[in-house]
Amino acid sequence: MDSFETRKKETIKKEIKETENQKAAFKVKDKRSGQDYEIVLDKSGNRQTLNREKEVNELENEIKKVEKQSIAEKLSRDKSDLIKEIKELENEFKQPGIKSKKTLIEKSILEKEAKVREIENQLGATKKKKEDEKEKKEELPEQTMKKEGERKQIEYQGESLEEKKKKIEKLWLEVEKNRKEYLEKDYKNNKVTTRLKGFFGSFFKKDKEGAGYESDKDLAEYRAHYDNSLLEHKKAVLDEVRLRGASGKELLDIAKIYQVEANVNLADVHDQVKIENQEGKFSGFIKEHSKELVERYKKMPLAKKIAIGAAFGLAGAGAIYIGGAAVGIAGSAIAARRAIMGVITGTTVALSFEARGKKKTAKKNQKEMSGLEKKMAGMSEEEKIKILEGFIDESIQDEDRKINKIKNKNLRHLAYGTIAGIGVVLAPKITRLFSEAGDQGSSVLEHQGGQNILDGKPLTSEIPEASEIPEMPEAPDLEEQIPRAAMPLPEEAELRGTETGPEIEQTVSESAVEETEIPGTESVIIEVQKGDNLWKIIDKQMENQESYAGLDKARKIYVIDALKDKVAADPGKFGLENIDKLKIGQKINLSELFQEEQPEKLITGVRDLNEEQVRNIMENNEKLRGWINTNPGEELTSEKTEEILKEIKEVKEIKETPAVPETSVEGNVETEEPEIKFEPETNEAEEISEKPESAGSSVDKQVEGNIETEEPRIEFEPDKAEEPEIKFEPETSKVEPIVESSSYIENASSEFNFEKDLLNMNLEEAVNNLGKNIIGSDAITEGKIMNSQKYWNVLKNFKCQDVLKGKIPITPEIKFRLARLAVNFKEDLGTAGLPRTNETINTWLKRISLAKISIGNISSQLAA
Amino acid sequence: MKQADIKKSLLEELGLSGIPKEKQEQLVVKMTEVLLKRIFLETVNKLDEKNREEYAKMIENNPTPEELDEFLSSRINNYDEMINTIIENFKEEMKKKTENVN
Repeated sequence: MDSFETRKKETIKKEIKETENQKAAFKVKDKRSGQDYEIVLDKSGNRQTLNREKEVNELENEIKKVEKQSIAEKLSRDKSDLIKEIKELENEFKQPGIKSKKTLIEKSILEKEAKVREIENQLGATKKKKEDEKEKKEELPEQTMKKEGERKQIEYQGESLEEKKKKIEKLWLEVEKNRKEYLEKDYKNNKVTTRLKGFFGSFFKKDKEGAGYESDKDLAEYRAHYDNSLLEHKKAVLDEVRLRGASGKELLDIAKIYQVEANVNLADVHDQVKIENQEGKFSGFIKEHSKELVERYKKMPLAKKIAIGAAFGLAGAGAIYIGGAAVGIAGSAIAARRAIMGVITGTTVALSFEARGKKKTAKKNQKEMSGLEKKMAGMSEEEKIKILEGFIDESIQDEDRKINKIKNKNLRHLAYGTIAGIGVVLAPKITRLFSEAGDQGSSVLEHQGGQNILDGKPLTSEIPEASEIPEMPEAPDLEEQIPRAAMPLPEEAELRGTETGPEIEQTVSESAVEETEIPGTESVIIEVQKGDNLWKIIDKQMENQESYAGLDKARKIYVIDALKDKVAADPGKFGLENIDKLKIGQKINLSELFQEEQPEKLITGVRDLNEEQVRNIMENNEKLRGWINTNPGEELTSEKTEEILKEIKEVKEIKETPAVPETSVEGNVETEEPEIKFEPETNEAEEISEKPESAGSSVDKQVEGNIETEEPRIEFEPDKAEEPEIKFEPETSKVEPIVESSSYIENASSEFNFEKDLLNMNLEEAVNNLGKNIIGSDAITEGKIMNSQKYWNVLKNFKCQDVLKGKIPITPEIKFRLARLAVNFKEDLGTAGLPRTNETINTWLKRISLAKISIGNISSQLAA
Repeated sequence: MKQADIKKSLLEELGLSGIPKEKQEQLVVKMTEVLLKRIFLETVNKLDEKNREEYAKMIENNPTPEELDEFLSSRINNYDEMINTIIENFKEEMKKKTENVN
């Protein structure tokens, strides 16, 4: 056995050895990779090449991959769970009555959010995350954007209260800086000299050309910065309030402080602007000493500063001691007088006051809850904050309006001073021009005009209601500083044109200057020059108005034609027998033409002509040009023009028919460009809602009535300017506009499916859609940005308070107008031009957000 | 304008006497700055050219508050009234819109 087993064993060993030898014999080395390969025979006897090392590596990699995948899956599951929890917590956070849990929940959210990030780090998934996000964005862009917004919000809430407060302070400084920069820029743009250049047209034409657009664009940018900083500040305030869980009373205090601060700042800007624009010998003295005065005050100890404030009746105080002597009670004129004398003279003012009754009052105030505060007691946090947000929004909008008012008012002051200084008394006309300050694309004036466009009102009317805007105490007008000798006698005031300019005689009574914006006393007498015709004369006169000069050719044609029709209707009134037969040296008195308010209304209305209307004008122009080319030497009279355009006229519904087309002058036709007559198409969308004097739009009239021109504006018809406002009549408003606008809507909608869809939306949906269209636009042109600002301002000026007070009924027409705005946005932003930038998009997103808030406020308040 | 009209503290009228003292002080200081400037400007604008020159010279010679007060009171009709009006108008400006919140 032993020998058998031994043999067997040896045999096996032998076999093994042989096999090993065989294996060894087939082992080869790859010189390039340095790896060993084995060549073996399989069961069938075929030879195979094996790389054990590679196999092992592959297996090991496989194992690692499986392990990693397992971890990744687990972590991903964890992440999903955490995100789910976050959402649940956020939902819980939004529910009313959990104020006490708020901080805890927020903390929990932050912790979980941190865990999510930790997991993401563990996974080393930065790259993967990006890819995922990219995929998600492609699939669900809105959801992803929303999620990003949520994350951003949470991160922002991660700041401490102290950090938030600092941020608010910083943002407020930014608001103040931007406001100042914006107003400075505006005043720089609207220097008196620039305006006068605009007024005297041809004298300064070279200087004027090319400058306006750039500066207006700049101004719009400054305005956008200012608007954005206000929004940022508001957001920060609301975030801070949310996190702090402020009480109803505190929220109301914040709203009040916000409003008061806005009022104080605006009053300050108003006065500063007044000071900086002082003219005359003492302007330097006033600027210097007012600055010194404030600096001196600022350097005083706080107690003294407060005491002086108490002397003015700003802070509660008892007896005040100024200059060592008791002078009376806080808030008395004597105290105020002493206080200011002390500051002006720089005398040390020893002031002290007792806080008599202060504590008592404070306690009383604390005890007494306002009606609103009581209401807020039963509201959720978000509801309260929404109310606060509404107040802040109103403050912002109010500030907008006040800024416009300040601008215009001061420009008017400047106008008088300068007018008198150069010996020309054209106050009414120039003042009217000044009242349009910034109207060359400035977002501010567009803002001002926005509501008017909505209402079909002239741009020169101010939007805010008188009751809502504090009347700034009027300083004595600057003309009072001007020596009377510098003012020409009414009948003597005369300005002779240059060689190239028209000769204009214009007089106005001195009283007209003193009475500021009361128009109607100037005369416009034109002597016909060689090459003149009525068309050219009107054009020249209108060119003196910047609001006209900024119009495109088609719109100018419309305005001139309408004015010319006025003359044609009664030539004798203007010293003419035949508007087609002007004689060189003949004097035409166009005073009445320009004293009426029609030119301004025309200019305002013509801005709203739509593309088709503009195209029609230009087509007609071409048609007349064609006639002239084919009829050389033949005179193009008014009648002839009528005839040529008759066909077109018949198919159009005309509300304000320019009766006579462009005329030529006998014997001196230097037909530069045949001008044509324009007839607006009344079935266009803008016609009813946006054109002034549109027939039958009672909404327009109602809204017009709501807009009180707080200061008398220069209008061409003094009587009209003084007419009592048209009061809003809810009963009629609820019927007429709806009936009228429905067919109008149908007509307009048939052209735009998009618009038609919008008609079925509620206000908020319409605004949302508007935002989407902006985001979806391919490109934005500079001009379109400017135009869109106008639309934006219409939305912004869609005042909540007017809706709430029943002054603006939510009618289908209003809805339609909003929808129309959306279309305009789309059209304006949707074509080729400048590439879209993130900055631009962000700006618009913010604006849309604000529009949504406004609309939201309207909806919620209406529901309430 | 009656003096009594401006005796009530503006902060009280605005319902802000309950807000933090620091904030009250900030508001009062800022409002006072505005009023100082405004009264100064209105005062100068009320003077005719001759009196302005006199006023400017007077300021350079460091007058006492009483001297200045006497000068202005004698040159400007109803100077107290003017100041009261400025203050009252300013207060009205500040009160605008806040009534909605009260």
